Amino acid sequence: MLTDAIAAEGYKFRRNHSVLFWGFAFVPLAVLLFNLMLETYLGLHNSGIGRPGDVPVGPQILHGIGLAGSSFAQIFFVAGAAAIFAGEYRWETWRLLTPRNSRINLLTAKFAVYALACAASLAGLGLGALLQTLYGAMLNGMTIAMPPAAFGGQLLGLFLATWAELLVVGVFTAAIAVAGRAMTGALLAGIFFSFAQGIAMAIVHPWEAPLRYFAMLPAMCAYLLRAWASGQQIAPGVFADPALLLPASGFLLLWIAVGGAVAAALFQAQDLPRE
Amino acid sequence: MTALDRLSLSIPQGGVYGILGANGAGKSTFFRLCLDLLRPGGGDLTILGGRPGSAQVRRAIGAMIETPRYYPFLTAAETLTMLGRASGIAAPDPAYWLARVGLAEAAQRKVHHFSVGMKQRLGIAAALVSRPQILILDEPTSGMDPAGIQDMRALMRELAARDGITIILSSHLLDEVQRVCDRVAIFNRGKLVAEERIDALVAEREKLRLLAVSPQALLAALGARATPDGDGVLVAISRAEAPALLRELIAGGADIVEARWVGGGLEKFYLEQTGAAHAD
Repeated sequence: MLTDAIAAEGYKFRRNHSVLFWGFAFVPLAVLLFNLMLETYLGLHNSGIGRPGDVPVGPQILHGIGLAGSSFAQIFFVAGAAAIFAGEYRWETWRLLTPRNSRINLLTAKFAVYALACAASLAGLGLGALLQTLYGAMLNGMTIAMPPAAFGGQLLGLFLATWAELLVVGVFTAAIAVAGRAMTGALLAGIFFSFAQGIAMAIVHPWEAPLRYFAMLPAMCAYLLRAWASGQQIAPGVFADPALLLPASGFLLLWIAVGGAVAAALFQAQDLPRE
Repeated sequence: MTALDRLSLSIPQGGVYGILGANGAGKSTFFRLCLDLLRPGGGDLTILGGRPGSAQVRRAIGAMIETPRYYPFLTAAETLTMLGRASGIAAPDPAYWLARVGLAEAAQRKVHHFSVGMKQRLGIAAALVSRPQILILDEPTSGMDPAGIQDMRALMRELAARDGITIILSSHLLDEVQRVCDRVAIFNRGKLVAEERIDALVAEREKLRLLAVSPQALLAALGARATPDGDGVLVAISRAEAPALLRELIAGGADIVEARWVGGGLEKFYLEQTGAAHAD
């Protein structure tokens, strides 16, 4: 059953401390540490003066979660995905698992564990941003401006968009891991996929890109959805076009569905003579 | 290349069933087909009435294929717990299975540090953790010391006799196979060339070798039943007939120095079967 496969994959994942740390805990921890150091420096620099006004905690949290959309942060998520999806090939352990549960359940369990780990990492980024804001406010003698009522919706929208982007990266890495049967190949391909999109977005700007570019670049879809959810401008004076929201959401879901289906189909038909 | 060619094999439930063959004979391919690690190009394979990979068959089979591999970050107990959960066992009881294969002391050690023999033992525990009806063991004693091999032999007999598990075993150690198996099949270049009960196979081929002060007198007394064999005499009789024959010879005045059974080993049969197939 799928629940058995998820229980086993989760049990294994929780004990794989290096993947747990480098894949999913490092980014929130590193961002938090860097921001705390920055706040401390600014606090000491402005010692005794204090910065006037309130600190808006909502935008800080949204910004913190959105950091997972950067290519540099995604290096670590790709590393986590490569370890999860290519680990059985590397350690030749499919022979332990495939006689115990169906292949589709085993692969779906890996997707589930990766998705939950990404969600936890995003929550960690949000929590880190909150802690940093509280720390900065305390250090500088500032007050916290509570988020408006619409913040819940903004947070959910931005969280889902960023999560979907990480899932796209994950299913892409999974498909490469299954096709190539190698962790290094999956890692490099996943990183290339992420950076190639970043470079393409620097050339083709989201506010002037035709729809087909959104279809090819899931990161651009996620960027647009994040900007819309948080109410931020995507260029000076330019907001996300609401007409693009539905296609962008659809493209992200399509990437996840197609990537997952390709990985599953390859794995289902795959002979495992060595693994 | 055809790994298994028109192989037709029925394995009875219960006992220990040996599958022999040289490297590349198709043993591991057969096992991997049973476990759905490989997909057949054609033909049918049914296990307990189901197809490999079906939920029914997965629940029924435990397996250790070649030298088992493990996750370097898990301990022995964690490995069994994880595999038990993958099989749908809510409480896998790793301590019991580790004790059963003699690894109780190593339960909390990372598998990464295990010797080859310990990994083999853990592989058997991993295969057993889901309490299967059929246990497939591919070279289970590979890398084990003599004491370990003896333990493993005893465990296999115990699993078959006490737990009622059907064990399908592959090994190059023919003496071990002869000691532990009830039946044996021999593969050669992907084909089944022989299938026989071990005791029948041994009984058909073994002869009583007698060493006497005067072999000529023995030959004369035994007539057509005996043939000279160096300084001794080979007699083609069954074990049941041996006591009467020896009494008869001694009563007739034969000075018998030694009597022992020879030629009933599996090795000779194996070489005959695979050698004949090579000659084809």
